[in-house]
Amino acid sequence: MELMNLATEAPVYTANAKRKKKISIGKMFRYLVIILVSLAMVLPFVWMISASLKAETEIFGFPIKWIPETFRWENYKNVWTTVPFHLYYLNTLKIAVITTILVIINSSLAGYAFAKIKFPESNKIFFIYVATMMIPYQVMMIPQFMLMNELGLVNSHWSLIILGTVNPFGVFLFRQFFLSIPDELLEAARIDGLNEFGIYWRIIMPLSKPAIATLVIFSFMHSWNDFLGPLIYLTSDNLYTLQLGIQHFITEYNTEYSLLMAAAVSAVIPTIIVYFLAQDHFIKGVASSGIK
Amino acid sequence: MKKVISLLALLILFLGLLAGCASGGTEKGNAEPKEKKDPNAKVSLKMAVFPADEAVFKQGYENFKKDHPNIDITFETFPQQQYYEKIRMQLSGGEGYDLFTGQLDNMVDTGIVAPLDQYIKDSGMDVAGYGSMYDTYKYEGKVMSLPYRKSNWMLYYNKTLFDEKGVEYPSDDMTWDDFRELAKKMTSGSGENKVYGAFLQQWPQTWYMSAVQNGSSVIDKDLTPFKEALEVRINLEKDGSIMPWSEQVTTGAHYNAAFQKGNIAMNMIGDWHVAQLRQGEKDGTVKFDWDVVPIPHPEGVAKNTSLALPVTIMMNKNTKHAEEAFEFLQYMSGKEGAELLASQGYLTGYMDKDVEAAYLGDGTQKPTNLHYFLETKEYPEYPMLPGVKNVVVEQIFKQEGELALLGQKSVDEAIKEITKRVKGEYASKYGEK
Amino acid sequence: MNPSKKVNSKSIRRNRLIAYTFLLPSIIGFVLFILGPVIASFLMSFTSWNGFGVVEFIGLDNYKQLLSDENFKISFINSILFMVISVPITLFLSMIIAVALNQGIRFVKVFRTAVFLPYVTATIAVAAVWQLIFNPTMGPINGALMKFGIEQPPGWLSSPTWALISVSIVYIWHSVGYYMILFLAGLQGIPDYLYEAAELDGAGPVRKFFNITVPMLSPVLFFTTIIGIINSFKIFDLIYVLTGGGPGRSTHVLVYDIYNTAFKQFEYGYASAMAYVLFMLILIISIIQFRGQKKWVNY
Repeated sequence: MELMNLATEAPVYTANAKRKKKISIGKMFRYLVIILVSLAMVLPFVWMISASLKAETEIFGFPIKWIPETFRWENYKNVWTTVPFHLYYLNTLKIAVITTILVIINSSLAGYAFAKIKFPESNKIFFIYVATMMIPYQVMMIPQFMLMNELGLVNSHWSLIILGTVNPFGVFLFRQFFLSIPDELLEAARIDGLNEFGIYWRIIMPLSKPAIATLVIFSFMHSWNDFLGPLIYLTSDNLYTLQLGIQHFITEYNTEYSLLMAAAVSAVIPTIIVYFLAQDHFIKGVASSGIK
Repeated sequence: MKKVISLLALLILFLGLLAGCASGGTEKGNAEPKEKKDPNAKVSLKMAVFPADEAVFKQGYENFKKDHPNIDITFETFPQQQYYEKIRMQLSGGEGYDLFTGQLDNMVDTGIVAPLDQYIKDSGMDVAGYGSMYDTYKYEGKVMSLPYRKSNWMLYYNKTLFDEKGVEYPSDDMTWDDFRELAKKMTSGSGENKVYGAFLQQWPQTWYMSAVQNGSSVIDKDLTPFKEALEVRINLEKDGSIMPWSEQVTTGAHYNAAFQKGNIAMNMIGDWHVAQLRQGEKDGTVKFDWDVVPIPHPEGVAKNTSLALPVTIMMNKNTKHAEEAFEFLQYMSGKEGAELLASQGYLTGYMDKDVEAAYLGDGTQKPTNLHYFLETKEYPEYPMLPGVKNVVVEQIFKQEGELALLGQKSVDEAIKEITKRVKGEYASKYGEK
Repeated sequence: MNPSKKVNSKSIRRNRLIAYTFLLPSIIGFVLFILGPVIASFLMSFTSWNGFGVVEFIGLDNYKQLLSDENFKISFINSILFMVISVPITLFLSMIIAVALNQGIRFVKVFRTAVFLPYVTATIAVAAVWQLIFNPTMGPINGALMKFGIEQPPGWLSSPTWALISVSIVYIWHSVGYYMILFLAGLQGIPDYLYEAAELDGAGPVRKFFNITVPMLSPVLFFTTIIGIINSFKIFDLIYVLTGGGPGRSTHVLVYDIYNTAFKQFEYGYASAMAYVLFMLILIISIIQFRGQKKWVNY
């Protein structure tokens, strides 16, 4: 055994040694590009933070003053006190979390059916799912509202949760992902006597961490940033979400930019946290362990 | 097979929903004043108002309640940008607002605005206080709403800047040419030190108003008067006295922030700016002295002629408590409500000596020349005509005028395009000239 | 023949049962809240309705009107232009960035978060910042261009010729993080041993990319292309805040037109008809892609 290892390892070692020299230049270049790209991505966000700490008249000055003359932390205080911001936060959190959990269960079950169970209508139904994704939300808005109204769900968080859960995007995502999981794995499990649900729960789902992580990010963010949905379905101020709350600062006659930015920055933090945490599941090479 | 059946079932359900909403709209209400009801029975009303007006309406209600303890009113409001969509959606979904505020022309096509003539007659209220707007805003000969604010345009000016430059304050009788000269005189500097002669918000009204002041309407068949109007703005830009349209649009410039910054000599905007400037003084963001003067007018037109865009209170045709609802409507848009609104800086729809006094206050609050607002002769910004969607016309004016202001089209081409598009929409129905 | 047929129909029935059980929660919600409204608004496209009063059935009038509607023609063309400009660039950039950030870099989590940040930021804030950047007289871009001797730099958001391109730039900046995530998820599905084998054969990074990464990513690429095209046709928030459809009508795209017609002009029937034409457009493009996938997608 050991002899064999030495034999295979030797050429790999020398190849690696040669590569190490070449890599450093290539790697430096890679770092440079990545840093530039990241800066371009982040700069506007930095401006946002800077604006949130300025007085209103300072914001649109030229050239851009990155560091405010006086740090107006009271902008943040104003945002959190003049409107019930913490309530909006909780509302938004509640909707986002529940929707995300439900949509993962919902979509993964459906995605499994489409990807791994052979039944004749599979492609046709799936195509209908995908087709409806092409229809802009504005189109379905009114009949959806009428239906929700009949069901008595208007002015309740459940209208938003339901609408977030039925999104076909999740089904599409899971189906594509499951398709890349080799059938042999499932066959082996079937031979071992596992039923379909068991296969789904014990084999497919653990392998799907990247897909789950992806959907968590998208669904959470979509709920968090949704403006049109809450606008249509929520009337009582105590049910409002963050995006609606932010609109408080845009009235017909004036836009208070500094407060708006402070509110926007406050609202962005949880999505960043969710994203940062979910990232872990991209790093582990989960699929390769499945093959072995 | 199963799928087809369930699909059919759904189709039927939806058709039913559509039909239901359709009939529900016209079925229920002809809320005519009927039998006498127990005057002390508790009545609950719901009213939708603009977000900026919520506070004052609540206050008005508190006063109203003293004489009408049995009427309970809750107020709801939505972000201004989405106000109309929201209340229309609520209303079409069956949400029963008994009263709502807004521009009549944005709501009249729904068919649920109740005509008020009978109620007005029965109440014996005095309508002289509403002035000429009362008749101008009739729809098919009926009074559909009562205004609580007029939204006239005014010219606000920065007295401190004029003092610094040693230039005489704007007179109350300027023509647009005089205005142009004055703006040029007041413009100076560049970059951080730039002082602009004037600021015109990037709405199409700020340029087409000079044609309307002359009596033209935006849906006339012949829109040549608007060519001159467009030229006015173009000339001001050429002189460098106002911020170019492109810059205003891309920086999202807003008249309130811009004027308060202190480097604009004259600001042309509506009556609500008074309240904003007063608030600015309280907050310490306004550090200069200011006053008002009527907006410029074309040659041959009387001074202090302006545009007005009344905001009104409307009643839902399907309300179950028409009498009580009308009582509050009458209260807020009539004498007592007007006194309250005027004291807060609103230029009200109803005017009489007492309201004027409330508006002018005790003379300690700026602007000193507030009285000009009370003497304005007004033209409606938009025609109030059935079938004409003012929103569409405004968009056409904005889009094409913009191209001329950016130098992409000549004034002639722009007006020609506007004429063509407006004709395509409405002029065939109503244009006189 | 016969015995296998019996087995087949039995297993088909069994499979159907299992499949529908799995599908149940999703399908109920889907039919009720998505399919139903879609059909309802299809029906609405044959009517004239302002949200109140009687729904008037007017047959194909809405569609006939669309043919001669200048606004609609302009939005149609703008939407297609926008898609053509934005989608390929977005997908290409996000794929490259995903590959670059997949492994082997320190602080990779920080960089990934940085790239994702634009997508997370509220549209209002995004618009405010980019309006500054694109400012024709005082913004950094034109400032730099003028320093390099370009006398008449583009007007960007205030120029009818450049506005759509400017919006595309913002859209690309905003979306790259979104598609990067999808590609990252896909990259995780590529087993390491494939790369190792290639390295032993002496393949360099470019070869590895084209011979392993791209083919193995093809299901995800297919997915992102479809989603990318669909999303580009659905753009609304950004335009609403950034340009409001202007200057003139140069950034008037289909969804903006639909929104305007439905919620500012209160013509729900007409708006539904517009929406269906948009739907047909996207559908045709997607069908072409679905057919084509057999040729280039490996499963």
